[in-house]
Amino acid sequence: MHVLTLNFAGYAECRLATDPDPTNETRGVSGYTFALPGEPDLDWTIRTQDPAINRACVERKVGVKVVGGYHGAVKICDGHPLFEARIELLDKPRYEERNYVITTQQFGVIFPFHFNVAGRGVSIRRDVDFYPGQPFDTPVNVIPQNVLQPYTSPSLNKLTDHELRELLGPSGNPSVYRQERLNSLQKYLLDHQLSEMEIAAIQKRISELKINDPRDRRTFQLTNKAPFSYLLNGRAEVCVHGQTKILNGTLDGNIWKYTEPARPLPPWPCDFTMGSWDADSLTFWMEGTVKIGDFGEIPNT
Amino acid sequence: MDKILSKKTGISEITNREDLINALTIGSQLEHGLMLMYLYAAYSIKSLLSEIEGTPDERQIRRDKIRNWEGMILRVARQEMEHLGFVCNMLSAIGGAQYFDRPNFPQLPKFWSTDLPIELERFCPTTLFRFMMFEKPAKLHDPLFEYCKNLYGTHRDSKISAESPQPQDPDYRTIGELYDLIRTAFKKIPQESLFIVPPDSQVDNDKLFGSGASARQIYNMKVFKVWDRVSAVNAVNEIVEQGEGTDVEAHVTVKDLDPECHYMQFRRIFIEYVLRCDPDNEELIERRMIQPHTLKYEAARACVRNPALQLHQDTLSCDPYDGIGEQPPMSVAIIDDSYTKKVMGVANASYETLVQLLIRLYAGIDDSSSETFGIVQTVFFPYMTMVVRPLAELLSRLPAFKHQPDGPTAGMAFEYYRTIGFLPYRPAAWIYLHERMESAAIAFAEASNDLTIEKRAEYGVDFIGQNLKRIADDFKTYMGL
Repeated sequence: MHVLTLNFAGYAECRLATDPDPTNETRGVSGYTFALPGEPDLDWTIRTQDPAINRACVERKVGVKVVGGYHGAVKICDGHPLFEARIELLDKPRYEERNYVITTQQFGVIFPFHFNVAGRGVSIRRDVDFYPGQPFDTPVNVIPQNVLQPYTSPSLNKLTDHELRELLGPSGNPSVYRQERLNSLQKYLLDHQLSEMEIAAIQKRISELKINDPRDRRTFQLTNKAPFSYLLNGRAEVCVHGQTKILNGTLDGNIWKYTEPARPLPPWPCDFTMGSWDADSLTFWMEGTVKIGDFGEIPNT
Repeated sequence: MDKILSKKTGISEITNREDLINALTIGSQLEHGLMLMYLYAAYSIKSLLSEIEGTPDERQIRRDKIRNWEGMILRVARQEMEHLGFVCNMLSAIGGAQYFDRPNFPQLPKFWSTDLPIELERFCPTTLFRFMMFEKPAKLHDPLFEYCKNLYGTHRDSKISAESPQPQDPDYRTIGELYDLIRTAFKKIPQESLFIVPPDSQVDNDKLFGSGASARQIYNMKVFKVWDRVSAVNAVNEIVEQGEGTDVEAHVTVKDLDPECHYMQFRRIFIEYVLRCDPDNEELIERRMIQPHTLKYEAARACVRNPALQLHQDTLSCDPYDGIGEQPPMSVAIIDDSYTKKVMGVANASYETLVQLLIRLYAGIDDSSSETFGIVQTVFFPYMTMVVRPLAELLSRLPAFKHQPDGPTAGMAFEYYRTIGFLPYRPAAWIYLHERMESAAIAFAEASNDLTIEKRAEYGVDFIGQNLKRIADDFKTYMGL
C-alpha cells in the first residue's frame, strides 16, 4: 500500500451568468457572460469533460486529465493506467455562491464535489461530505456559511508570467489574447456561410470582445487564479474492470450510508487552482493534486 | 407636495444650505424614481422563447436582442442608484439627512419640474421616448427626438416650451438643469461654512465592494465620498455626464454626446426596436424616420401600468383600474389575482426592507464594522439581485386580475406603505429588519404552497424562497441576533 499522488490539469467549462445577474438568470443580462442564440440555457455546471458547447475560434479544448504523479516511488507516466486518466466531477456539480447568499467570499463552492479519476480499467472516486453528521444529500442552501467557508477560495492571486504565456499565448497579455480572438471571429464571419442565428451569436461575442479594457472583468479575469482545498472525506470507491468496491459504506440506491471500515479511511486532500477565466469561451484552467492514502496495487491493463 | 413645489418655484439660484439641501432631496427623489421606472420597464421584457413571436431562429435572435436591451436599461438603472449614492453623500457632507422618501406611482407630471409623467409603464416605444425626455440635454438638437415628439407628443410640450416659459415655469426642466443649479451652489457658497460633516461615514466603492474598489468602476458604478467643493462638483459632473452625456452648456448634437450616456442608450434601443436599423447609421435612421413604422414583434409582456395592491394616501386621486377596457395613463391597476397579490406583498415588503437597510448604510452613524459588513452583504447583492429582481421578473409573468388569467400581467409595484425613515436605535433596527425578512420568507413559502409542482418549477419559486430564508438567516448571524 502506497500513497497515490495524481497531478492533473486541463481546461474546464462553466456556463454561468455573472453578477449582478441573479444566479437563476438563464441567458445572461446584466453581467458579462451569456448564452448565445442557439445555445442551451446557462446551468452553472462545472464540466471537466464533454463541454456543453463548442464556440467557434476557441483554441482551448475542455478536458482535465492526469498529467503525472507517483504511486509510492513509481512515476505515473505514459503507459501507466492512470496516465491521462479523465478527471471527472460527477453528478452535475454547480459553482454555488448565489451572489453572497451561500458564501460571503468572492468565490463560491463546487457543490456537490464528487471527484472521479477514470483511467484505463480502473477508476477511483471520492466525494466531499460538506456537512458531516447531517444527511449526505443536505442541500447547499441550508448548510451554514461557516461550514461552507473552508471550501471557498481564500484569495485571488495573479498567474505568473510563465503561466500567462502558457495559457494566453506568447504575449501572455490578456488584451492581446482577446484581440486575437476578436480578429479570428471577424475573419470567421467573412469566410463562412452562416445562418442568421449563427451570425447573431458571433456578433454578440464580437461586441463583448471589443470591451477589452485591462481593468474590466472580462479581461483581467484571464490573469487571475484562485486556490481551493477540498478534503475528500465522503463516499470512496474503486472500480477495477467494472467491479466496484465501496471502501467506506454502503449504497442504498444512489444514497451513500457511511459505515466505519475495518481500517479507518482518512480524507484525501485535493488541492487545486482555477484560473484564467475566459468569459468568451466560458472556460477556465484547472490544475491540482489529489493524494490518495494507502492505495493498493493498480492493475496493469 | 404643494410646499415642495412652492419652494422650488422662484429659486433661480441656490445661495444657502437650506435651499441646497432642498434641491438635493429633489435630486434624491428624482434618481430614486427614475431608477424604479427604468427597472419596471426592464423587468417587463420577455425572457422566454415561448413568449416571443417568429420562427424558431427568429425567436432566438429576438430574445437575445431584447434581453440585451434589458441589460442596457438595467445598467442605466444601476447608475441612477450610483447617483442616489452621490446625492446621499452630498447631503451628508453639508449636514443634511439621506433622503429615500418618494411618492407612490403614478404622480402627475407637475410633481417634479421635469413636467413628465411619473409612472411605472412596461417597455414600449412611448416609454423609451419618455425616458429619452428625462435624460435629454436641454440644448441637444436631435432629429430623432423631434420625430418622436411628432409621433407620441409630450406632456411637457403641451404646457411649456423652451422659447416661451409659462408663468409657473419651474426652475429646472431637465435633470441636468437641476444639477446645474446644485453645482453652481457648491461653487458659490463658501466651502468653509458649507461642509460641516466629515466624510468618514459616507459610502464609497470601497465600502460597497471591498478595499481597493474605489480605484475603478465596478458594475458601472464608482461612488466616491464628498467632503469639499471639488469633490462635490465632481460628483455632480459624474451624474450629469452619465445621464446626458455632456457637460457642455452650448447647443450640441448627438455626435457630441458620450455614446454610453443614458440618453444615447435609450436612443439606441429605440432605433433598434422601432426603426429596426443600425443605431450607428445616421443616414439609414433618417430614411427610416420618413417611413411609417410598425413593430415587428412585441418585446415586453402585457404588464399593466402602475400596479398596486391599493390606492395610497398619495395616489388617492388616481383612477383605479380593474382590467376592464384599456388602461388609461396615470391610473392605478389594483391587482386582485390571489397568488399575484401575495407575491406582490412579499415584493413590496422586501423592497422596503432593502431601502431601510440602505438608509442605515448611508447614515453610517454608529454601526460597527461587522454590522456594516452585514448590511452590505445583505443588500449588495443578495437582496437586490436574488430577491427583488427575481420577484419583479416573476410578477411581470403573473396575471394582474383574477377574472383574466390570460390577460394583462402585473409587475413590481415598489409600493411604500409607511414612512421609510431612519431606524435610530441600532439593536432594535436589526431585530425589526430581521423580522421583516423572516416574515417575507414565511409569507412567500406559504404563497408557494398554493401552486402546483409544475407551476413552482415554471416560476422558479423554490429558488426565490430558499434565498429569502437564507438571507434572513445570514442577516441574523451577521448582526449577532
